[in-house]
Amino acid sequence: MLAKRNYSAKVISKFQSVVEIKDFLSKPEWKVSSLLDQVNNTGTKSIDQSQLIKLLQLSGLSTKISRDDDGGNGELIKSLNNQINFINHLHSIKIFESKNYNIDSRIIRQDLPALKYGDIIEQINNCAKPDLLKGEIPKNWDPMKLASENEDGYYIVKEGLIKDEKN
Amino acid sequence: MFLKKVKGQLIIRQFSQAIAFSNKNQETFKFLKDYKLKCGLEIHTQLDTSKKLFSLSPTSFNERQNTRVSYFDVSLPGTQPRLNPEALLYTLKAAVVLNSKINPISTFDRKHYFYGDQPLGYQITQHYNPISKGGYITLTKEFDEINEVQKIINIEQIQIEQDTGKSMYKNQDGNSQIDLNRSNMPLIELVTKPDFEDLKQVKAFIKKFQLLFKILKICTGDLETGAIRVDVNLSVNNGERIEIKNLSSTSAILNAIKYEYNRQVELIKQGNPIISKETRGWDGFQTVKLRNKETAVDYRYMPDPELPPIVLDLADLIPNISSNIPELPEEQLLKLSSKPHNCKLRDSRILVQNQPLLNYYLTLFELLKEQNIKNLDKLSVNWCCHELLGALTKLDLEFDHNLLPATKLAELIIQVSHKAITNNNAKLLLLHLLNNKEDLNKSIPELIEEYELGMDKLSEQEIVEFIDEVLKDPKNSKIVETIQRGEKPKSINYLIGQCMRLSSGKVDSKVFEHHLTKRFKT
Repeated sequence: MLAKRNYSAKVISKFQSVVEIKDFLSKPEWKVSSLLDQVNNTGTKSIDQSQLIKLLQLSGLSTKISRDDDGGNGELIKSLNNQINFINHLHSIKIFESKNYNIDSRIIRQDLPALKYGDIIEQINNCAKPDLLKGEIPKNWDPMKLASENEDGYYIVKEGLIKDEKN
Repeated sequence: MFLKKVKGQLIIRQFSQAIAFSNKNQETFKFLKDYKLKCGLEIHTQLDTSKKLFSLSPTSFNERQNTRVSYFDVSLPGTQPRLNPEALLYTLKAAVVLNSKINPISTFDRKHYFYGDQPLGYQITQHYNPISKGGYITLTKEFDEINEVQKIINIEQIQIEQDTGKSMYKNQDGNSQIDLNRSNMPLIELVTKPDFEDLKQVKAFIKKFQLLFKILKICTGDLETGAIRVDVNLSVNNGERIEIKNLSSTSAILNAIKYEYNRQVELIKQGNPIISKETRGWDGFQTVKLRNKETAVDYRYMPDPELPPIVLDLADLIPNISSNIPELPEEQLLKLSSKPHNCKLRDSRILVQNQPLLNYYLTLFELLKEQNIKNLDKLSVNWCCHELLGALTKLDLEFDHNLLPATKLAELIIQVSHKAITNNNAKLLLLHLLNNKEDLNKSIPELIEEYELGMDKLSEQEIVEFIDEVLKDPKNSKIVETIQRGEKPKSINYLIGQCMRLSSGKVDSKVFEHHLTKRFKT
């Protein structure tokens, strides 16, 4: 299989042997853990109890987690602050800033040709066909088989959805 | 148990208070000069595509639960969205008709919120770069029955988004049942500017919006079927706006606006105007607080990394879409009120509001035109809008062109026009045909003969005998005397009716009218 090389960059001089490569890789210059360990040393605002409750609500999780499972030791808060710290490290890396962040933040092809009327009609008539491999043909798969519990063909959500959370 | 009972009593009390308020609200409602209403609408419209928005599983209407879902619709890990081009085309049609400026590049974003009927954990919508911005719908006094000669309702933007599944709540065990058939159905969300100043404008806008989408054939139904759902944004005297979510009928929208307007006016009068945004619901009687600023949902919008932007060649698209747009309501109304149709505005509105009936009328008109029928314009619209619809109302039936094909109604009108059957007996035959499908196979002349409905060609003497009998009947003496004194000349119609009854409707009413008028003059 041919691989096309799109980018090239000179970082260090060319390796002469496998030993040199192994030697290079055995001396990491940084560790992921070092980015996680330094809690709140960047001077940014950290997570507190009220923010934790808000985050749990946004995620549809019970706010009881913050009291029962956490054992009052602030483990969840500590963990979240570690994550924020890690993200702050990532943010601190200077990168080329695009003028159009919306489009560049997508991971798929952006340079698409502009659609004409005929293209859309063509797509509707020829391309938009249901695919068995995507489960798009009815009766070819039973969604209920993947659910551990169901009632008369319905999925079940226990605890009355978010309503109970609000009450 | 005790708590439950107390709660129950409380709810009943609140409920009855709400009814009382609602009734009072309905009877006495008016906008007050010193309290200015500002109102805008958010309309979610389900698109009538054959397949879903980001998968190609078939769209579902009244199918068994969870039988119209692809792997993506139930959010199985590893599945990815792919835009259905049919939904894009329908949205572009809507944007063109609503005079909205289509963006050459639009993108999709994720709106995060947790709910059982939304397994992805987010809704794919268009937050940052919607498909189109701006636009308007023009309302007029003539066609839309508003108070102003003309009112323009401006549109903020139009965006494509996916629908959620449906949740059915079960109280006894705390479980909720989820049907994902509706999940990932295509929607467009349209947001208007806060341009509405009274209820007539709101009502007219919704009516026109539904009609436009019906004519374009891009929407599955209307408000009452849940295919269109509306949120109302409302403020009084430029206070903070209140959003009323999920209103599912025109009357619910109007009643919620009335209630909320009165509530806000009362708060202003008490010196407590609305100072922060709030989301409320409508329980059929009153608006109820759902969320305020503190408990507002943070949607954490982010660009959807799995969907490419929609890049459009507008120079090619817009003229092509415009040329495929059918006649719009105003054009249809103008056409119907002009020659050769000459319909009254009221009848034209009935036809335009019911597009299948309009098509039926146009077919009927052409069929009668081919026969060179006299009074073609009056006969066509009268039989279509009044006799046929009247008969359907009597039988409690919805219009359907298959109930009485236009060819059959044309045949009946032709027989009336040729004086083979009187108007009255033709109406009876119309009712009979709507009730007895099997007789649709027979020709109208055959049916007239079979049921002896034909017009009798009576001699002058026989007609005079009928008239004499009616005039000499003691029950009619008072009316006869009144007409003879020259009072209430229209009472003659009653006597014509009596003559028709006596002759079993087989004589043209005009013949009796002619003879009776002559008799009273002498």
